[in-house]
Amino acid sequence: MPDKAILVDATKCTACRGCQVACKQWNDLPAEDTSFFGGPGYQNPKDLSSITYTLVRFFWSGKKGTDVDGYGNWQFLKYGCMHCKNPRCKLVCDSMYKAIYKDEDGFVQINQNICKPALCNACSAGCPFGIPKPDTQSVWKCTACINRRGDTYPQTIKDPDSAWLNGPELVPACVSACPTGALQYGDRSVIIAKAKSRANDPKVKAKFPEVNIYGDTGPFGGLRVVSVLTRKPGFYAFPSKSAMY
Amino acid sequence: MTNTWTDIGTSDVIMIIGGNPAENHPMAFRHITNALENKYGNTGLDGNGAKLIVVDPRYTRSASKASVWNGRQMYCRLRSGTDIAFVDGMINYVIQHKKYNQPYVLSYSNAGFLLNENFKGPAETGNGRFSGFIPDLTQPVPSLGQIGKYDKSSWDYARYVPGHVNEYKALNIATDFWDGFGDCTCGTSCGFSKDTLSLDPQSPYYLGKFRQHLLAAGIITSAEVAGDPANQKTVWEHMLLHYARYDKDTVINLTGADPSGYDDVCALFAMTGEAGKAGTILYAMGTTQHTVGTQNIRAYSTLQILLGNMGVSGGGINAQRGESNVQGSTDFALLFHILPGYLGQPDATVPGDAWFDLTDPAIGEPGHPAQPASYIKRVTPFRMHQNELNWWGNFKKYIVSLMKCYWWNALGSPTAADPATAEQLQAVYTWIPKIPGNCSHIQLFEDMHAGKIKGLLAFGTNPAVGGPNSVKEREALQKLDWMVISELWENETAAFWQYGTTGQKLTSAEMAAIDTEIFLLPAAAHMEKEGFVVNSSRWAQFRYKAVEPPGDAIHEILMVNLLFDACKAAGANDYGMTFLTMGAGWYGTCDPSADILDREINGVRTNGTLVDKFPNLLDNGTTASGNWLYCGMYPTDGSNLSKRRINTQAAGMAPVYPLWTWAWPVNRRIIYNGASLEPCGWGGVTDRPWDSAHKVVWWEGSWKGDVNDGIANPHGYGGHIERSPFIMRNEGHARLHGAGMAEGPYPEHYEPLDTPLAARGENPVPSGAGHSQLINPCIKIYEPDKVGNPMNYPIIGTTYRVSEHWQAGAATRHLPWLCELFPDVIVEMSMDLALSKGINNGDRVQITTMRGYMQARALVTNRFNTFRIYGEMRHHIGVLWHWGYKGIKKGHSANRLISHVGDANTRIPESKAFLCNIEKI
Repeated sequence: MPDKAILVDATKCTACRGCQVACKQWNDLPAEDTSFFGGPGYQNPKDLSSITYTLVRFFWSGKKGTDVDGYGNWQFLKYGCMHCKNPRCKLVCDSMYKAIYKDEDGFVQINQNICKPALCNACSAGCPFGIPKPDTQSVWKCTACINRRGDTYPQTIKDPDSAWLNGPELVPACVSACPTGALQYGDRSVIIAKAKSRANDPKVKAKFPEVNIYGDTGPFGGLRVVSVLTRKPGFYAFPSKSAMY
Repeated sequence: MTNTWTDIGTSDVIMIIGGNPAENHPMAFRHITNALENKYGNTGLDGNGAKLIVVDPRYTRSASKASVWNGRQMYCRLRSGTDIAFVDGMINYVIQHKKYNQPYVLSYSNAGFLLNENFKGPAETGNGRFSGFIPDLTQPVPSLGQIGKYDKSSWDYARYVPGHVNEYKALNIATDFWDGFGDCTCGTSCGFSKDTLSLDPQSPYYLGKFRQHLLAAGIITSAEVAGDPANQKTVWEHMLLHYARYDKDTVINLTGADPSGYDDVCALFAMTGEAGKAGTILYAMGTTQHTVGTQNIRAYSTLQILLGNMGVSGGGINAQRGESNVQGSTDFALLFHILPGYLGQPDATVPGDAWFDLTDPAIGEPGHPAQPASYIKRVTPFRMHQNELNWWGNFKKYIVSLMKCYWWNALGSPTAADPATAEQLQAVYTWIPKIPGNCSHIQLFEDMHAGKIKGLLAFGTNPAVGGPNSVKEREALQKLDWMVISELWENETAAFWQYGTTGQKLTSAEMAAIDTEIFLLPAAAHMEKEGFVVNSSRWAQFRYKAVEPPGDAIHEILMVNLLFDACKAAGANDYGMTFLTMGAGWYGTCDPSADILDREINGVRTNGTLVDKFPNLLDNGTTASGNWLYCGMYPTDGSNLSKRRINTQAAGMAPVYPLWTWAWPVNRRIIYNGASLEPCGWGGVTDRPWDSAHKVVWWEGSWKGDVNDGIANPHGYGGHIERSPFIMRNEGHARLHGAGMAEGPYPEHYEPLDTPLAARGENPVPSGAGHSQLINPCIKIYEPDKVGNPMNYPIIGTTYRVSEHWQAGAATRHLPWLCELFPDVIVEMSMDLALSKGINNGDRVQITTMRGYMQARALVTNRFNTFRIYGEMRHHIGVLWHWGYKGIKKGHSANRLISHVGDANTRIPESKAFLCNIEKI
């Protein structure tokens, strides 16, 4: 069974939000009618929803003052389903409607024909990242573009750094849209190795003293969205890396 | 761009100033990331990839990726409108700390050229201006300094007797020195040699003493030196005087930059002066949209020449064009002052321009006899030295080929190699429309506002949002008799008659009072038509049609040919129209393919063969070329190279990918690439690249690598001559002294027209004891009663774009996904300002200037901060400008705040620095 993962490298993200639009485009999702909600930076919409599976979150921190301290902390993080190896949403759904399953690459999926959001919603409540969002028909979230993999993928990606250039090899839409290489897709072991080399790079450490890898071993048995975070997990209100069920 | 996007990957230091690629050129950030990640094996300065510097009033998404160096994040802020002070200060740092690449500067630049003895910079005049200023007493002078223009005769190089073959003295002395004796043979063991000549004034072999030495030693005679030699100084000596005034205190006080951050930026970027290291400067509209925009770029160029960063891989000054085909539209003369290929536009207000060419063939050579004024004489520079190529000396070949392209049947023979007669050339030349003086965007809308312009063809432009002082421009549109507008949607300009000048919906009676007849033509979008587009790298890349345009929408080639035929049918039948190679009468259809036009642009001979490079264009009417720069894109083998897609290249070569599409000129990827080699003598080259790991051109018995700049063979090989790589300059050398500029040969800091220093009444940059030339003396002030005063408008403002919207917004505010990302126009401000005004994040606020007001949502952020300007604390805000009164998401246009004032050279509007006030509503 293929063991795949997506890398979210926050040290490279410029928050262009190409991933957010690519997600809407591939999944044929309508726009939300938003307005500036007074949030940090340029983030919009405010949160994920049944029609928004991918969201770049903006964070500011740091104290007001000199150029160095006051400005050093405009952080961005692509946000969406983390595709836990031991997903709590599946755990709770298994005792209800059994609508949640893992696909052949290990990504977490919801069977919309079985899901009964009006009666249940246990997965939304149970997700430690607050990801699945219901509408009247089902609960919705990132599928890691299941309909771009399967038959059209598993071709070998010759140069994962240039995956966005390699037309016929369909990686998840967000990855294909990313201009800086902040998003990458591949074998999970390769993705983790890339994350480690990034987090150990002295210039990255100099710029982001708290740089750390999230999702390689934990929480929840590891994630299929492996992140290189610029701040500690708590900064993003993420569960600690040792969190288990 | 002098270089290419991909080549940024080898930079050691990248400085972004006046641009924000992470937001406005997001794909470009890939190449910046390549450099930071060391993709091409550039070890950088510390063996760990390139360093990124970001200089901007606001901490941007680009700034969030600035490198950490010396324990500090390499972001440095500056007040909008003070780039020259900032960069002149960096130049001063480079000079004072001797970080320049001395052999490069001595050989490839004009540092060693002697200047006219009457030339004085602001360091010597005492009034903040250069020598030769002629005040225009009819101009309104709003107590910010004089307005006028320059008699530039004193800015010239010193000359021998005019008419001498090498009349330019400095060059002649230099080549005598290098060619004649190499090491000085004055007989006094003086020590002067090409190895010891120095830019350091403390050196006994200082460049500035060179001429006096030669004179004293009797190598040159006083008879050879016209005028008063004692007052003649080299460019370098003038530079020392000029830039020393930009000391750190002056720079910090003017710009409001953090002092230690500024130090680190200077020190880090100056390290690229080391041989083999390269720094690049990336800029965009934050640089250009100022009354001193062109001089901002001059300052960057000067810094890059001093550091030896021009012509090398990972170097250059690289303008990031604002959309995919801005480079192409500029190349094809979207601007008023040029014809395609940057050929000078004939001007009805210039008397000699009535005549095409009254000269003999010696034009373009030095020592040409006095000749009557004509267009060709005005636009063709003469060659200053016999070694130099003076590429613009070929001007006549390009303009005649363009005329042949436009009026094939009227010039020479349509099919045979018969040359055109002088009478034909003059007749066809009269058909080129002559501009009545300045026709910049601001001038056009001033004339429209005054009722002088009756009709408007608007293609892909939205002045009701994008024009400066957009309320005034909307008023101007109301005075038109007719307007034809080609658009994807009914944008603000197309719908101006339904809305008031501040965007309120008009009543039907009010609409009826607007008398303009409007034709809205549905246009095809970029994916609905084919043709090549030109990116910032000067690459012509063919783009194929993906889908058919919807409904009645058609592409511009068809639209313009139909319009042409309709005009002819309606009686527009003067000779210029009758003979124009256009329309169904010429092509057999109004819809010739883009490929056919590409051949026409490239160039064809009367015998039907393609011209394979522009040196083969002729000035006798037997070759036609729609744009000489693109000659070679469609070579004789009949392959349209804009369709070429090969992404491999020679090992060890800088990452320029010469087989990917085609780049002008002649597929050259890095301009002035001869300067990537170590010099020999006065501009000649050796076979040694500065950076052998990223070679641009190299010698293997012939030149390999990138298409070189016409450099001669390297020193030590047959055919070597001392020819500098800067072939587009008639002296062949990079201009540290640039006499072509409107407001001076060196960049001098002048304040924006809306200046917070107005109350001070004095420009702080030393020029004698306190001088009052606060603003650029060569601008045109259209609205003297609309100049902002810091008493009423104490806050500094600027405008900018975001990733999520595009230009005037017509293309993005109609797309729901993009409106979702960025629904509202926002104004960003510091926490200090918000606190003092009682504004909370997300509040509605109103911003006012002397021109008008706008409303926006407040984004309170620590990414803006208060600036200390000569002891006064100044707030700074930034407004997005994409919004208007049409589309899914509407908002006030920020250009309502902007003045009708532009750069002294180009008249690009000063959108990036103004004075304003802000209140919660």
